[in-house]
Amino acid sequence: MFDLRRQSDRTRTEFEELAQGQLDALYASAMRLTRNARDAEDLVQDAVLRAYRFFDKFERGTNFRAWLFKILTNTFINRYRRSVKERTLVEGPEREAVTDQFVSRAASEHAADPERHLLDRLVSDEVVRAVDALPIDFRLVVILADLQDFSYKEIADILDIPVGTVMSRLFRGRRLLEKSLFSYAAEAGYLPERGDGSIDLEAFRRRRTK
Amino acid sequence: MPLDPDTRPAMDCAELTRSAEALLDGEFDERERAEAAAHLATCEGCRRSVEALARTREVVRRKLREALGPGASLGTAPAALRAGVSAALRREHVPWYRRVLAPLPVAAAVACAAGALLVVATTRDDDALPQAVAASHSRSLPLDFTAASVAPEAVTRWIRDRVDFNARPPEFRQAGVRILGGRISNIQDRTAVYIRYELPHGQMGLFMVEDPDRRFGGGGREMHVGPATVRVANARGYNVVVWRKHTIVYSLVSDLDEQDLEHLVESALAPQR
Repeated sequence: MFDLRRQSDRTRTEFEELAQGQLDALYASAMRLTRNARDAEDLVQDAVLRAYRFFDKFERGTNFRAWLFKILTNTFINRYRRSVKERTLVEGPEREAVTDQFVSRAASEHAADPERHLLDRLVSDEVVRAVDALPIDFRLVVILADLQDFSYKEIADILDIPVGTVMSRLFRGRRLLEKSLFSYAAEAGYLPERGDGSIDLEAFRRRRTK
Repeated sequence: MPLDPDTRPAMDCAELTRSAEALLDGEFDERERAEAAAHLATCEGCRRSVEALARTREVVRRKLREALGPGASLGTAPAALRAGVSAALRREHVPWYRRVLAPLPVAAAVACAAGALLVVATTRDDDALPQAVAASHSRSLPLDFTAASVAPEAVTRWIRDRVDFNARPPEFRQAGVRILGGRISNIQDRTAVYIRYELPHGQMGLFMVEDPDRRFGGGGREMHVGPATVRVANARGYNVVVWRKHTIVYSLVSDLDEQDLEHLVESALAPQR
């Protein structure tokens, strides 16, 4: 008969259920943004509390997940990014290096092995290192798109940038990521021998010097 | 492959290369997909590179999930974080309706577990009360006292001097709720006390009537507000919340929406410190 929960408790319960449902995803993303567990936990906790304080501004029935990620990334950008020394954008020669040529090279390399993609052999540790090596702006869009499955429009809303910027950052971020992944695969000796018995010379040299 | 005559192969190799990622990301609309399909059907080179791109995209996404997705240790919030978030939310003193209501003491709900409040325990389907209070509230009859003539702390005495039951207006502990005045009223031949409040947006009226034989309070639907069970009804375009405390039936009538009214009632029903 008596419902001892107060209204605010019910709101809290509703919010908490929604937020706890996203906690793994928030944590996984926060880990890759801050690159250390303690900061990631602080970031998630801060972001969730901020979201709770603004829960009255959240329109029920709209995209809670995107809203939560927007708060997470804003919190990160405001609070943590200043303390994280890193270049935000890849400029100049590096930029050229990650455009289309690389795609076709990578594409032809694995096209030779239709049974199993050579990147399949990478272990998680290598994948994490490759993601963490991305400049932050690229890391953000790659995580949001390829790990959290947000659409271009959602990412644009989350990061407050135009869709066109999302697309170009995503393109470059993915190429950089692939480049690292392929180079890890080469270093680890996952590159298959070519039909003529030779292997990629660069990868061969890296293996020799290890 | 014969092309559908309506589908113009407007996309050339350069365009397709530029937008291949958007295509694979499912961002193309139906027409763009058709254009891309038309081009790919006729262009072996583009088809190969899109296939290669798709394979790489697929494997990278899979590797990301393996490393960071659900089930991976790096994709799982530590138990301590989960617990920390819950604890922090409980400590949080500013509920989401903070703009309307001042925060209520967290310990209040606990303190009130055995509180004297109020059960409207009747099964009669009687909606005469909401109708009557809504009608009376909407008539805007002159007030017997106003905030200018009686200080807020003297309202209880003003009431006690005029009716023979112990009616005390609840304390609405939120910013912007102010007593405008009150009058002696009449609800279905019973003497009632009417208090009019000013809210940040609009007004509301409170009726208190003695009802020892439980004649009132059966209408509307039951709702749990904080520790209390109240009944909520709509009458004449107003929302009416009715609850009972001992022999006194309280009716709050307002054009506030139900949720805001519920918050007001909650604060009124929270135990006094």
